[in-house]
Amino acid sequence: MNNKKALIFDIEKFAVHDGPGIRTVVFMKGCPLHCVWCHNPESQSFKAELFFNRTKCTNCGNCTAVCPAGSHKLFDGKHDFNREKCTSCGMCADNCPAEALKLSGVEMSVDEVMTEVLKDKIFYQNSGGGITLSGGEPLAHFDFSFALLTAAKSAGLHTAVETSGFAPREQIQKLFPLVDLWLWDIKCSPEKHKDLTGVPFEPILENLISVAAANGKIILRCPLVPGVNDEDAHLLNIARLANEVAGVQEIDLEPYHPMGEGKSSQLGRTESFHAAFASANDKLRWKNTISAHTQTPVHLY
Amino acid sequence: MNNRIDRLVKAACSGDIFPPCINVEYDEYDLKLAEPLQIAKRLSEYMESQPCLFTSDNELVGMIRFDGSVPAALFPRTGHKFFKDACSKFYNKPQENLCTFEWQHSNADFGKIITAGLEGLRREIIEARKNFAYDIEKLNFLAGLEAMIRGIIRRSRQFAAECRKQAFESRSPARKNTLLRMADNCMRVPEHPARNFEEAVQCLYFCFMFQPDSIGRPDQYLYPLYRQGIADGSLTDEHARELLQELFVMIHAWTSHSSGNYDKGAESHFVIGGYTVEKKCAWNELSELILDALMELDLIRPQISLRWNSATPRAVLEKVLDCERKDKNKRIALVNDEPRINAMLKNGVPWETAFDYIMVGCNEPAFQGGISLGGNTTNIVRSLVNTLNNRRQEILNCRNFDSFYDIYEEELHQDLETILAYSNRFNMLRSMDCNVLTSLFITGCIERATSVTRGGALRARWCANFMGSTNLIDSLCIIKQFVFEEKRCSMETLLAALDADWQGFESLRASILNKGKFFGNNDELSNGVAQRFYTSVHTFADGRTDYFGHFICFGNLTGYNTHFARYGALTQATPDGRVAGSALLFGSGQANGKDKAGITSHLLSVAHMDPTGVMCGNSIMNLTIDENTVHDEESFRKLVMLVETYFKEGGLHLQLNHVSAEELIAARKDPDKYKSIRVRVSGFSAIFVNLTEAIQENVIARTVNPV
Ligand code: SF4
Ligand code: SF4
Repeated sequence: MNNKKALIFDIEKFAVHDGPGIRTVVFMKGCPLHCVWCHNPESQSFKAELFFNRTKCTNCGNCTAVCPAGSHKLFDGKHDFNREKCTSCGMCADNCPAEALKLSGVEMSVDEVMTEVLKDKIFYQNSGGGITLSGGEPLAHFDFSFALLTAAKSAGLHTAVETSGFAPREQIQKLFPLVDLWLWDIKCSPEKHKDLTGVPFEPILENLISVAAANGKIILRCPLVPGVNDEDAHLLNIARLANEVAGVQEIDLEPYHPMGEGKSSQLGRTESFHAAFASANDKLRWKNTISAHTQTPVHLY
Repeated sequence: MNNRIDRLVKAACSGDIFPPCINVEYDEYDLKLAEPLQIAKRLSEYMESQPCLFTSDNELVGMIRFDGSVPAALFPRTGHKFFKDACSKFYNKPQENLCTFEWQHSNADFGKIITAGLEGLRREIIEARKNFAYDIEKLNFLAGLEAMIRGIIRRSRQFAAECRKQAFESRSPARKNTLLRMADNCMRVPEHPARNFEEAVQCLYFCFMFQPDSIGRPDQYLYPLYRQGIADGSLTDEHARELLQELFVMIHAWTSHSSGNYDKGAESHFVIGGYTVEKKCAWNELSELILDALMELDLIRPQISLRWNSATPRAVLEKVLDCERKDKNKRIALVNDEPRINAMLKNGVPWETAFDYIMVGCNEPAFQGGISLGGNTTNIVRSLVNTLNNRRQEILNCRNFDSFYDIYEEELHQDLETILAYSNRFNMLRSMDCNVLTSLFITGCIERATSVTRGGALRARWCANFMGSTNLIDSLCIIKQFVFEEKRCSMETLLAALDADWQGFESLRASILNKGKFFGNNDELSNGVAQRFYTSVHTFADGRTDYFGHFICFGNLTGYNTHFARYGALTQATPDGRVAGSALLFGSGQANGKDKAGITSHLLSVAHMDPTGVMCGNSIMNLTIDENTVHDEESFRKLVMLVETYFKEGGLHLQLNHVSAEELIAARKDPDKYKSIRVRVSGFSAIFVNLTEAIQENVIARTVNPV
């Protein structure tokens, strides 16, 4: 029995790029970093949030009747939503017939998450797969992640954690025996790190080295945004990390896609980051530049 | 692929290479003969009058078409008057919005002809005659079979003579040699057992004309002569490949260009892999050669299924799926031996028959040398509509889902009873025809001295196909969830909404669509309802047989016809949010994005839905996956493991589509630009833009929410 809870905003089955075999990824809500390009804006806040998709709304008025905060109103038969007073109770989403309202972030206990994850156990067994913790930042939900990984290990699952690596060292160390694979984000050059992500790079690097020292297996995950963080110096830095940090098995390059831009407005946020899709040329240059400086396999997604 | 095969492919694709039928006047004298003898005599005369045609690129001969003046090949039903009559009244015409009449498959035992020859059959006939010494009807039938054997042998000699004649005239020494070899082959087979691989393939092709359906398990029955040829050096892989390719081209060419089904590929579907009689993995070098030979040909027929089982190595599955992802003609599907064979064994089919089953047509289990009866499509949603309308007072009094379900089950069993009754009547109509040609190749017809149409086949099966089983399960789920468990609406309100076809109840409909616990999400409620429904079907079927004594099972494919749309057009709104008149779903899976919990959940729901195996008939599972899953190597390897796990968990069938919904929608708008997209439909594949609107919509609905 484990009743530790966290806000979960998605559980993705048949995830194929988040560790070996067929996996289920558990996404926890909330992240201490604020990367400017984040394509999952709902993963940043530690609170539940309401998505409102105006184009789906049929102006039925159900939400106006149930909202305890009075956030929904009908004016001349047209629906108006005032986010300010919303407490994210989810009542309106539950009663919206059109799925125009959707609550992102459901409190789930470790047991509840494991019940869902174990439904696919047969797939993990047959493929060498397992569970991947992601977010947001799973290490920002340390107690929950610790309990979930413990449960997963005792169920015999392969475990992976996708992390920015920004967390207290003692916490990371406690996870050593529970994590089979670290999917470690390398976001940008150390110089730009504070500006682009909101936190410095040094503690992340130190944590990475400590994982390597404990024989952890590591895949470096590198989001690349054309013109923002894809300069040669950063690419060379990725190659250098792969060469110098023991345990790095693979480098995954993740080209920017602008999916987050539509989501932001549904969350009522105005700030929106714009960048272009990476071109085939960009991708080739990234891959070649890195491959020229390391033997570590480079994958492009 | 060599130039000869290349030319044959081009010839077969650019027009009919089969000769047109020559009309024959039959004399009056034979009216005095008993029916089987009269048919055999006329068929022999007919065959003799047809030209012995083959192209200068052919090394296999035998092309012939029958004109319907005499009952000939059973699968295309040529000349079967009673069948035709029944067809004109009932085919494609929903009776009581519940059941239609469909054709049947029957499959020659080609392996037997290759090893025993027609001379072996003649010996069997002589043996059988002893058992029917004073039974004139049976003796007449056996005499008809024997006369038919003589007619077939005459025909093969006619081809031998034509080959010799052309050899004499040929200027090319190489072709002259080939033609002489072809003549020798025709003198040898099918009369006598084949002695080598080439004779075996000639025998197979020649006899295919007499039952142009599935060629069954060629990787098994051709294997001994293939091995022998490779071992003694008389056969090379290249030559074997060439012979197989010529066979496939000629099978493809059998379907006439003017046929409405020309661009569909289900005819002559066969299997590779499976079990040996010793319960070992039957995949061998020839299975691989057959697959490779087929993939090299840019043709849409024959289609092929891998028979997977727990002895199948992952590398074999990977090989077949790799061909599948690269095959733009979409010829490949996969079936699982385990649940199917288990269901057969449970129903009294001996292992010696069950292990050797084949898949034919769209996706119908069958036996070599056997017949598949039924295949009638049915509207399974009607039982629920009857419950909601005819039992209204009773269901309004139900306090819980169990008591509602008890009433529903009564209606279900009543409809299944009616379906069986229709099917029996149809099959009795069809049994009035007499067939002496195909009967030769069907096991049991000689021993029982009975036409295959009249119950002569020893290996047979019966099946009916449910249209709308997912609609039905979803509707039951919604009743359970919305009315009884979560009490989101009352039964009165739901019924009023259905009566009004949702007019004025849009909000209820929307919340059903968005909050409903639908099948395919691997949750307890929908899994439980699905299992309960299929168990009820089993309760009906268990221990019962049709009039011929065949056990009863069910499936869910629609075939070439849009039965699911026809029934839907006559069916009112249903609790799953479906509006009146819209198409039902077919197949085991979910569509319209209702499978929200991902592909693994969808597959597990389907794999576990039928604990009793009653759906081990013509059931299909269409799965649409994102194109990237097959293009990216890492994802593809995981797809292989996904499919393997689905089968290990009991999934029966799988066929894949990997196109995007956008692409299909674009294709509908601009058909000329997208003529090349082929999709898997209902066990077969076809060109998307040529499909009827109802099927196009069904395919798009399945791709709404792919992984
Ligand atoms: S989530 Fe709760 S508080 Fe917020 S708008 Fe909906 S009903 Fe009102
Ligand atoms: S309940 Fe949904 S559809 Fe109805 S008015 Fe509110 S947001 Fe719009």
